[in-house]
Amino acid sequence: MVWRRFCLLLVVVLAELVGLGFFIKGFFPYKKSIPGFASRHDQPQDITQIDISGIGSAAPGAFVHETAQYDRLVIMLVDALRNDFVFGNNSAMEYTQSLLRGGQAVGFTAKALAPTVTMPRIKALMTGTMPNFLDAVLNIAESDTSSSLKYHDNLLWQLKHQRNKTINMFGDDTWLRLFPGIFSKTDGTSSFFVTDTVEVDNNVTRHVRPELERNDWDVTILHYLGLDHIGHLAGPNSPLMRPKQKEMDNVVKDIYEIIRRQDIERTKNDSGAKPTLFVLLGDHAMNEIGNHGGNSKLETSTVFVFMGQGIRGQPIADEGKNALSALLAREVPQINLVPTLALLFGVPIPKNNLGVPLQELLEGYTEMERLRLLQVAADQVFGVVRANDPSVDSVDLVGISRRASSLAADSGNLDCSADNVLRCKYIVALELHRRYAMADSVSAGETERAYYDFMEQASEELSRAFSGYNLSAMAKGILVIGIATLALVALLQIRHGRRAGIFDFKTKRLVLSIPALLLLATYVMSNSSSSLIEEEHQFWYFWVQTMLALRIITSSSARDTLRTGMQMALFRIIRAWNQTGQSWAGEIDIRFYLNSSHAKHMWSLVIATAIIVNLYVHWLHLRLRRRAVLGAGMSEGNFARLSMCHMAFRLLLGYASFVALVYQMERNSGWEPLGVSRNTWTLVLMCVPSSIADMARVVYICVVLIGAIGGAAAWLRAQGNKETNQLAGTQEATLDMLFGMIPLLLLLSRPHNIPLFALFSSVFVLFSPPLLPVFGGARSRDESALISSHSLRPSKILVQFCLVHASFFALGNSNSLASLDLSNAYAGVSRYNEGLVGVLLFVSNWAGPLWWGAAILATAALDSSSRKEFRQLVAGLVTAAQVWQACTLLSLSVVVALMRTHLFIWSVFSPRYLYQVVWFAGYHLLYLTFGSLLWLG
Amino acid sequence: MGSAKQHQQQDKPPASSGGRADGAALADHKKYPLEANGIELMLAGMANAMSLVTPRKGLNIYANPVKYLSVTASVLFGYYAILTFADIYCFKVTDARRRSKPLAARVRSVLGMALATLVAAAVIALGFVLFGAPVGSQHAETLMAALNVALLAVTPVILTLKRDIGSWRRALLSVEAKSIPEKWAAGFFWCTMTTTWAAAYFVPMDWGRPWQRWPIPIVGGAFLGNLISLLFVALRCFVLPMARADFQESERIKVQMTREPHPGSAHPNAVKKDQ
Repeated sequence: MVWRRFCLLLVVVLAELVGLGFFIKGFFPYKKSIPGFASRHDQPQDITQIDISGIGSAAPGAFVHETAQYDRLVIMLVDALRNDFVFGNNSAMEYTQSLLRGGQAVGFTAKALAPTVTMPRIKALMTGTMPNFLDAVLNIAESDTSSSLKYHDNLLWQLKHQRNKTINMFGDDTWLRLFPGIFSKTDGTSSFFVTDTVEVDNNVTRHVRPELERNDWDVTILHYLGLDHIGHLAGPNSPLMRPKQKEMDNVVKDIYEIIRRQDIERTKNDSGAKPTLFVLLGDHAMNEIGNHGGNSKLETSTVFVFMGQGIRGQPIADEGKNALSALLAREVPQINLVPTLALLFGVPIPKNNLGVPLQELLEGYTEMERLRLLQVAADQVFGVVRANDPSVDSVDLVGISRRASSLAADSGNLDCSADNVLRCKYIVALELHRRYAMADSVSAGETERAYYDFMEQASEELSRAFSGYNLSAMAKGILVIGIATLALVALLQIRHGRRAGIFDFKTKRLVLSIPALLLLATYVMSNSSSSLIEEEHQFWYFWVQTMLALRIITSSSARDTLRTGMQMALFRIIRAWNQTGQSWAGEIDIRFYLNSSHAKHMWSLVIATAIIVNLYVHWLHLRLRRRAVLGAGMSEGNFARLSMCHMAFRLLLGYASFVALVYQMERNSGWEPLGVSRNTWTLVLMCVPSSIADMARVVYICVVLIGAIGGAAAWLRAQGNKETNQLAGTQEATLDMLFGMIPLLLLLSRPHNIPLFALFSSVFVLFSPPLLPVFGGARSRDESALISSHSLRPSKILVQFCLVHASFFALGNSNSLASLDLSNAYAGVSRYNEGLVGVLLFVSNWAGPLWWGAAILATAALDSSSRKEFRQLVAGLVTAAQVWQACTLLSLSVVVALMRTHLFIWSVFSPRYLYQVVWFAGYHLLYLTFGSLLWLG
Repeated sequence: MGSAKQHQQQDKPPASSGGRADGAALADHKKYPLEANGIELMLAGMANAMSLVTPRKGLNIYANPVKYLSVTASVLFGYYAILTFADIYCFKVTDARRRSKPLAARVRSVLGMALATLVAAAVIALGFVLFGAPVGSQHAETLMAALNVALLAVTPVILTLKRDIGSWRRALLSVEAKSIPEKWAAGFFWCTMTTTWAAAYFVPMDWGRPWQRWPIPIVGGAFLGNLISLLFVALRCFVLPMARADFQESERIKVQMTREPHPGSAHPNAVKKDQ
């Protein structure tokens, strides 16, 4: 019966997985990127130079680098620089405005794409691609160094390797992580201290004069963070904003004057020297309250201002405040910077670029040169088109040239209907180009327009394909998940044994308790609120206390009330341990004290936790052995073996905890604050393996052995035909598992979180009087599992289910990807192994839920009266957990689909969805469902 | 809220004793004359409203919640004190006894009410902290909020149930059949508490409104809950029992009339037929 149900459950859950797959495929777009770096040899032959006789190789076209217009580049990136901060009538950037008005600078409103946060924007600005949300996620899965652009074609790589430029970088250290090995001189500032609006910028500005005055650089990148910080702190209308703009304006003035002076000198000394290009830009902008991340017009409207010799804008006679307002509407995609700079500096365009060169900046070329550059750019975009649609054929330059030659000057255009439209447009442009070169009947402007026509359409279509949603796949996914949810509900409803179920039609009574239904309803509703997703921990903390309060209200004995009151007090401490979420994440919590001024206490608590757990297991084993003696049906030999097993279990647990502690203290130098001398510590280290990775491995081995011994003990205990012995074996095995996994969690948690496991254990034992050394008392039988006598009384398991979720957040996690803790994912792993690191990442971040999941199992065993009842209970619980998960997944899928244009879709809802995927696949499916298989046998 | 608890459990399903409950309700209805209660409910609504309305300039709940809440608490306390002193809080027995009560006893009962309310406020403040109220700061806010909630939710219980612990337990912690004062107490306590609990959902929302600051949503929820419980209690303790009593009375008369038929107008239907 149990097995048949289980198989049915698995089938439904697998169907749900398929639905999830559909949904993810529709929601997270996938794009194909071309590996490798562009080189000058990839460039197409110049169409005007092709020998149409077809014999012999064609003359090579002019390489792009021969037509470089600039030698040196200064990029000044001001974080969150919105277009009206420069062009608007309330801007304090007077010098920049005067340059724009005087025609010495060209300005654009650069449109950024979501997610409008710094790292994806820098990627976009340097690769010309559109890093999407999935990139950010996959980066987390990869090792820290490969989240860089080391293996992605980018502008800086091209400048450094093709033109041998010396590149310096001052400012936000994101660049240093993105481009390892590219920069010659660096001074990174961290964007972590958002409250600092002065020092972050002074740290950059102090380099401007000294470094630019020297002549040993070719490219200098300055990344200012202060303006963004002001936005986050006080919004765009903050009184700090105008002074900051003024400060940025002064930097612009300094740089502009330095490079102008230098350029005059350089051209005097060397007639071949080319001038310096100065670009002022923003990575993204900010909304009306100073935040960013989403897709609103305010957040995506940032700036490009190009300055330097050779830049010729339209002078504006108007001196008024709104003189530059036309620039607010002059929108160009942000990624257009990449091909523009590549062409101006004569380097190949990065392979995956989707940008289109800015026409205004190519004015300095002759018509012939310009068309050649456009051909190169169009060829690169066409490469991306082909990479994403393999059915598109390559173009035959010789054939096109032949046909162009044979065509009469005005014999009409190609028929585009049969062919791929993009390819056809490209061919049209090439033909025009060829004909322009041969005869004058085609104007350069017409050819240029044809190239732009092709590139803009290609860029637009590819962008759409990369960032759009596949709504039909999403709808299919929701449909399948919905059906699976209904099936799971039906599965839960079908009575098995005498428990579980949702509604009893015979007696017309609700079987599922009211608190559980209320919890599910409020949770499903809260999934549609972005703030309740960000602050999900508040939801769970509140509900744990509510459930415990309900247990107090409905309790039947004073001892029970006392125990539950103690649980509430303990949980209040647990809740204060780690502040998490968004709005209150910065508030002072216990973690802060432990990590700053009270490191000594932290390590004392860590050691105390290990000792308490070990002592408690010792006490528990003594007690269990006494029970075994009292219980009948156990042979003398088996009893001796059981004692041996318990002994071995405790020894291994002790040693594993010890090694895990030493590992933590060695890794975080925890022995120093404790006042342990170097020599003593060396002595301690002699008891454990020498390398830190080996320590972790020893813990893994010990935990596996603990599991094996615990299993053996349970088997010995269950010997004999007595039903009570079998049940006792299960009960003891679940408890052994619960405490046997603690060394693993000690190893994989951050040190300040370790004492939380002592608190968790205390809360757990307070649920079950037989586990308590004090305040004990008889177990009340009305307590079992999902049902209880009082319709408002939450069962222990329901409270523990809330604790599963609450403990996830109590360990400092949140629904933001930023809170994912990678620090312990490499414990004992010497080589990068995706699977292994993934498992460790899961265990270290889901440590709390894993422990409480085992606690639920132990509670189920303790509250069952027979082995059969336990098995039915576990099967029912697994189904109930899957119903819970399916309802959550379904509600989130619907919310995400409805809110796909919402401001917070990438910053709040998508990360939440990914967390739910891990909850589903990792926790509910692999851990709970398959884990429970061990206990059903 | 947990101050009154007894150790034995008495969870009788309410369905089985439905008939008896009706009878008991009728008996209670007879036992407690309901003279002052209409006034009492109106007064409660007015006190609730009055304590919320900003009486003076410069008393702003956003700028200074502690000051504001102390004013509302004073208004509520004054209201309860007057009712207690005059001994006209609902379910009072006779006018004669009311007049004869000595002054010292009246003052004592006001003081007792104040003391019990303070104890309840302390318990509620502890509950707030357990549910996540700040520990290191905003003590005055938490305490004042607890005092307001205690005045709105617990003081009616104190004034109706007095020192009868069994009655407290039956009213607040059980699903057994209740007498009308117990219904009254339970209505005030649970409506106010539930709304206060639900109002906490507004705290973590990122709307950035000034009223989301601790403890304004909680207190707002308590006042709202108190207003709801006024309606609920009025319905449950007065309208329904009276309607039921009227109905039973008329049924009784009908039965009487059918038993002793008068010629011509024996049955109501017969009366109708005549018209």
